[in-house]
Amino acid sequence: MSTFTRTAIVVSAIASLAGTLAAQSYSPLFAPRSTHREVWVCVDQYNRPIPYAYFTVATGYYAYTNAHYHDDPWHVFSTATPYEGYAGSSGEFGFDLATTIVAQAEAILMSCSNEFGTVYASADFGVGYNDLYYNHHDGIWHKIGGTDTGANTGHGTTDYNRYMRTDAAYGVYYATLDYLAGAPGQQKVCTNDMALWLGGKFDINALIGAPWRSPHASHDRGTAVDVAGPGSGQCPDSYEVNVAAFIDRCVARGALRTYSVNESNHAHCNWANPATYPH
Amino acid sequence: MSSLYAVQRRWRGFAALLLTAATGLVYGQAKPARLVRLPAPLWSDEAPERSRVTGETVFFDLARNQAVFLITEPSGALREARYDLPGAIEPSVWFTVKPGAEGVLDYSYVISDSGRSRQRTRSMTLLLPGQDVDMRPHNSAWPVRHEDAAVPDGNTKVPFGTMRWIIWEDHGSSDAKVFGLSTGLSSKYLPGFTNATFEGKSEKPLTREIVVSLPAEAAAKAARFLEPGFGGRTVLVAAPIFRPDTPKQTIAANLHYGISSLRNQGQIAKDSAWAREALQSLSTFIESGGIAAFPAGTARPSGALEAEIANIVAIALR
Repeated sequence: MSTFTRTAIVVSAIASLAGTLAAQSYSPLFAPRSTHREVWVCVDQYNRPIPYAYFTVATGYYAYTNAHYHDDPWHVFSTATPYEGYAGSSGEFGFDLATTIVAQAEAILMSCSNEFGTVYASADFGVGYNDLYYNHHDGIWHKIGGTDTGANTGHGTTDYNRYMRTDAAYGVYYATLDYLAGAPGQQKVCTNDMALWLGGKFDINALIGAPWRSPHASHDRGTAVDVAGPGSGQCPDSYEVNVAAFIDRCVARGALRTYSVNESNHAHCNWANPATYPH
Repeated sequence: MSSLYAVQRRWRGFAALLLTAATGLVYGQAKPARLVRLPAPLWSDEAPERSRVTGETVFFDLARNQAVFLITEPSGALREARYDLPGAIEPSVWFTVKPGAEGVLDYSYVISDSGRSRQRTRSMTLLLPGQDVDMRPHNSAWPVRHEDAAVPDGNTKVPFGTMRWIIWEDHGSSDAKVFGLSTGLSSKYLPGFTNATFEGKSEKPLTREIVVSLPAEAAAKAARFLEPGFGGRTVLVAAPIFRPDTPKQTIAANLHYGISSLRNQGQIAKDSAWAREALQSLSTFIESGGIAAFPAGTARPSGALEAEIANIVAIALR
């Protein structure tokens, strides 16, 4: 389905005047679940602001960005409030752009009209974090999850879910070295979910009717990682960890004890309090 | 009586016409030409007086394309400090990707300033993967340099992989508009869409050093002037951003984004049959995991841009 099909419908519904309407460097990049004031002005051919012009604003998303390789009618994206109105005497028209917990590429689609004509504009932006780095070390980690060893969650291979903030990335790296040093004969541990490359909601239930929302609440910020213990069904026996012992290693390397959880078949280590980021 | 009524109606019609015209004159109404996203409240002659009430000290002078800061002197007087923004340009970029020998791809960019540009474009910047050590810029009238960036590479499978800035910059003194300037590079990396950032030539540019020297509240607001959308212009182009072993699903998702964005911007027609088919094929390919061969389309590209993008899709997903 074309990404903006529904957006175009939304715009048309907002105002008949509206009609139909910035890759790795989406710019600007706004944090998930945040609000930003946008102010626009409509100018004439001499670059002079036009007072009291009528504005419409719509928002839309670009499907399949940030490794969300699925799409559906419930896809969430940012909203603009108000979505229509008149400029003041200075020609300025402002609205609040509110992002969601889903990180992806999106766009603002605008129109400006008066009795002499209408112009349209679109501006791309991103939602997400720009401090998450690819984090896999083949010598000590065995990748599990995603379509590689688990179920297809709509994000394909587990490789799309291996990005972390540097503090957490170094933390789990050294926690692994510490653990292996105390486990003679064990070569690797199995790592599963971290975060998508722009972070945000990694919706593991996307293909079973519950997309674009939690669970998987604390994998939004690139500070958490799952390491497999017995019973995961995806990790070779020789790579499984003692979950409690691995969490101790994480905590010794900076993970927060309160938010690093023994999930029975895996250790969930988190280097941040989930209350400090939207999820 | 009826004729008098008719006269009155005629005069009322004239009066309404005059009122509409007068309203237009009073409010300076004119035909909208374009929409501008503002980095700060608009500057006006009343801004200094308003500033005493609102406390607002950071403004954007649309007519002069300048950042304006109101600085309170020790005497209590307000001083205006003005700096040029390098975004009064409207560059157009024609990009092509051509296969060369031994898997090398030649990426070329031909840059021209539009007649509406008020500045001469003086630089073009691309953010490309830092691990592409074989990338070679072509000789160009504009010297090129590299700068490391802390920006993560969202496509790489290299631990802590980052991007780097490739900057072509005109060191000449000419103010003449750029026309047909050719730059480019060679790389084995596959093409995807990314933003090229352009800056115009200005006399007294606003710099990061100036922004951080402002009082904290003003500096926070003024930082917005330095964002690519305000401190320059961004244009979506094809560039070498994918390592050759990147999953085709990832590349297809980027191509889907690029075609969709160009359609939003009006560079590809909304009703383009080729774009509609390409987006549908890419959607199917992505959602099926990107494993099967990408299907050949039946709709013919319309125009040079669509033809070039069709060529890029074929190269990237072959």
